[in-house]
Order: sequence, then C-alpha cells, then structure tokens
Amino acid sequence: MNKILVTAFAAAMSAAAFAGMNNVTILFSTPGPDTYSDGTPVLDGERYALVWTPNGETFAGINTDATAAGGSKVAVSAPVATGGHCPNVLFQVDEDYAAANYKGGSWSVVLLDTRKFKLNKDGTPQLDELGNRVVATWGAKGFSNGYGVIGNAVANEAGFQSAGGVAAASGTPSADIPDPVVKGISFDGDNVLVTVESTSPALKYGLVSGDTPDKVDTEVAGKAASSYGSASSEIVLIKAKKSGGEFFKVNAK
Amino acid sequence: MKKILCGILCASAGAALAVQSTVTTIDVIAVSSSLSNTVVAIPGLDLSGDRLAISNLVKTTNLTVNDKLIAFDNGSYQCWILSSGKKWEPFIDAMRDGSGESFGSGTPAASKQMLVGQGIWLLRQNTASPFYIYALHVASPSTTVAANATALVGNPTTSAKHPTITTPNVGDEVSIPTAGTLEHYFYTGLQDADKKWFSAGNYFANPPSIPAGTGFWYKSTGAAVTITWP
Repeated sequence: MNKILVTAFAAAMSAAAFAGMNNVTILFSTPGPDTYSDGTPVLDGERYALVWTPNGETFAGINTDATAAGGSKVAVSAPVATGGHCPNVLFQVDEDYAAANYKGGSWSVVLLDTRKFKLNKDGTPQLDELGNRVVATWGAKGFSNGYGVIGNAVANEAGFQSAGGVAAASGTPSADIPDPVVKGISFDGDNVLVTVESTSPALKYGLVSGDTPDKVDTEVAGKAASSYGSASSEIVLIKAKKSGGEFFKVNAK
Repeated sequence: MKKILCGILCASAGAALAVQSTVTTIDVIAVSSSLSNTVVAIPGLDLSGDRLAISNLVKTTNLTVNDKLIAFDNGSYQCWILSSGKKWEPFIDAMRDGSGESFGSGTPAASKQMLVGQGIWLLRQNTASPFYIYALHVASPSTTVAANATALVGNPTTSAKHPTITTPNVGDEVSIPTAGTLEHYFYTGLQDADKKWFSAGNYFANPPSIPAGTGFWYKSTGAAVTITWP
C-alpha cells in the first residue's frame, strides 16, 4: 500500500493551537491517465477519497458502501476527476475534528470506482461494441465497486503536505464483495463448464487451473474462460478439457 | 523664419517647466528568503486602487511552475498553483469539519482580494533568487486581527521593521516562520509595566524586526489588536 504519511500541519507548527492553523492539509493531484480496474479511463466526476488509518493498523480497503474497512475512516471524498485524472485538490480536515477523530495514524488518498452498470435481465452488465460495460451512473456517494491507493506525500518544512505524482488505477475490489462460489461442474463435448454463484457485475471472473491442488495459478484463456459477474444469477465459465487430472479455481478482479 | 524659431524656443521652455509625474506611488519589494515556505505581505492596493487580488500579488519572475500560494481565511486554507502559462490556478477544496464534508464550494478564484497588511504563504521550489511583490503605496498601513482569531500578517513596507502591536492581550502569540518551524513570541506579564513579549527564555519590548514583504502568524486571545509599521 502506498501510504501518505502525514504529520499534520501541527507537527511542524509546534504547540500553537491557532484555530484552523493546524488543519490537516494535503495538496494532491495525479498526472493521469487514471483508470478503472477494466482499464477504461476514469470518468469526469469520479471520486477520490482521503482515508485515515490508525496507528498499528493496515489499511484494509474500501467497502461497497464507500466506508473504509477495519479501523480506517474516510475523512472526505470528492467527485473531482477531470480529464481522466485527479486535478489539483486541497484535501483539508479541520484541526478540531481531526483531533477528535483521527489521532495519530496515517493518511492515504484512494481512487474509488463508483460506477453502476446497466444490467441485462440475467443481472450481467450490458456491453458496448468494444466489450466494455455500459455505465449507468457514477460519482454518487455511498457506493464503491473497488478502489486503488495512490500517491505519495513529501512533508516539507512548513507542514503543507504535497502528494500525488503517479497514475492511479482502481484495481482492488471492494473489501466486502463476497468471494465467488463454485456451484457445479459439468461437461459439454470437449469443454468443462464451471457454474459460479455469488458474483458481482463490478468484477470479472476467470478460471485458473493447475496440475496439483496446491498450484492452481495458470490463467485460462479462451472464449468464456472469463466473464463479468451477475447481480442476480449464476455465471458459467468454460474451459477446454485436457487429458489427465486438472484442478480449478475462480478468481475475480 | 524668426517667427518659427521663436515658436520652437517657447515650446521647449514650456516643456522644461511643466514636469509631470504620477500622483500615485508604487511599492516594489524584492524579497530574499531562503525559506521554501514564506509568509508574503500584502503590500498595498491594486494599481487601480482596489484591493489587491491574489493573481496580482507576486510577480511570477523567478518563480517556478507548480509553486503555490496558500491563503488562510476563516479557519481554513485555500491554495493556488502557478501554471505553465504563468497563471495562478486554484486548487479544488475538499474539506472535512464537524458539520460534514464539502468540496468545491470554497474553491477560490485568483481574483480573491486581500487586505493591505495581511499575509499569504508562498511555497517555492527554488529559493536562490528573490521574488517580487508590488502594489500601489498605502501610507501608514495597519492591520486588525479580530478578537480571538488567528491571522497571517505581513510587513507591507519596503524596509525591515518591528511591528507595533496596540494593546495586545496577555497570551497573544506571534509565530514567525523559520527554516522548518516557527519562532514563537508570547505576550505575558502581570502588571502593565511588566508586560513584554517572551521567547526562548528572553523578554522583548516588541516582536523582532520583520523583513520587508514577509510576515508571521498572529493569534489574538482576547480583544482585537491593531498592528502598524512605523
């Protein structure tokens, strides 16, 4: 994880308790292009969030309701994406609020994936002619498919924190999206059909295979070896059968 | 022919006598500072006589693209960045306080106006050369820090001076940026005759001299105070 280590303005400003003077301040931007996990550019109005993680804990991700997992907290999120990246943003947390809610700890800026997709009747996402999912809405509060931790902060001597400088990608699924479950395996001619439930249209599911159960790590290519999940029904992944024994897992990303 | 010569002589004499100059005076201050983060004073008014805008405060000569200006206003910061086109472009504000989160609404235009004698942070990447500020001269400039408030204050004059602080409150604090930290002066004393500015074990009648065009934090712990630069 790329943590932004912030010793709020207070650290450099000694014990002075000037109202507002010790606000946590992070000057942030990314050069872009920032992308979603499927490689498409971040849409104008997508959200970037400032997340606090307490001392002794590790940032555990973002939930689907856009809250932070574990002991972390989202301090502020803003739908500021413009031109495929995060423009210049001054993230700021009031000193009194920070003192009461964010003692110690560290800060991260994360790119959220707040897209909701148009769905087919079977709950799978509609695809355009390029195979990309058709987006219905994005940028709203309270929802996130996934996230990407981005940026670095360099503290300078007067306490203002500058961050950013890397292209961002929301490549990590939200922390509380359930794991996929293999419900059944069947055979059709030379193909193995793997039926999977507990999937999400926000993620793409693929088969990995191996010759031993402790080494199932070879991504399976081919038509229908991977598929976006469904909000309401099972999906089926297909792989050409090979001779001898073979072991499978389903991965999501 | 004689008439023509006379006419030329008369015109020359008239020009020599009628010396004209502007009725206003412009202050130009070259600020040399080794600090990456410096408080810059608002030295005067815009050349039109209006309050000085952020965009017109610091000449971009000797500044570097991505240098920043940071203002402090009503308990929060606002930031501008120097673009490759030598324009001050605002950062979007994304703020969290006790009442919730907000973004964008406070995003200030570079036309935001500042009062004479206020201060604003300048964050520079290159401190080797001086930077320049200029404004329409204001005679006897003064700054008022509101009661129980914190403000950035600057020396708006063209020379280093001790600020004169009228009736400071016991507990008031002056914090002057130095390399990486602040130098604090606290106003203290029981009797009026004993009241002085205290810092690092020493007492002073006034806060130290502030270089022209630079500034400091002032925290008022009671009534409003007025700061002048005699």
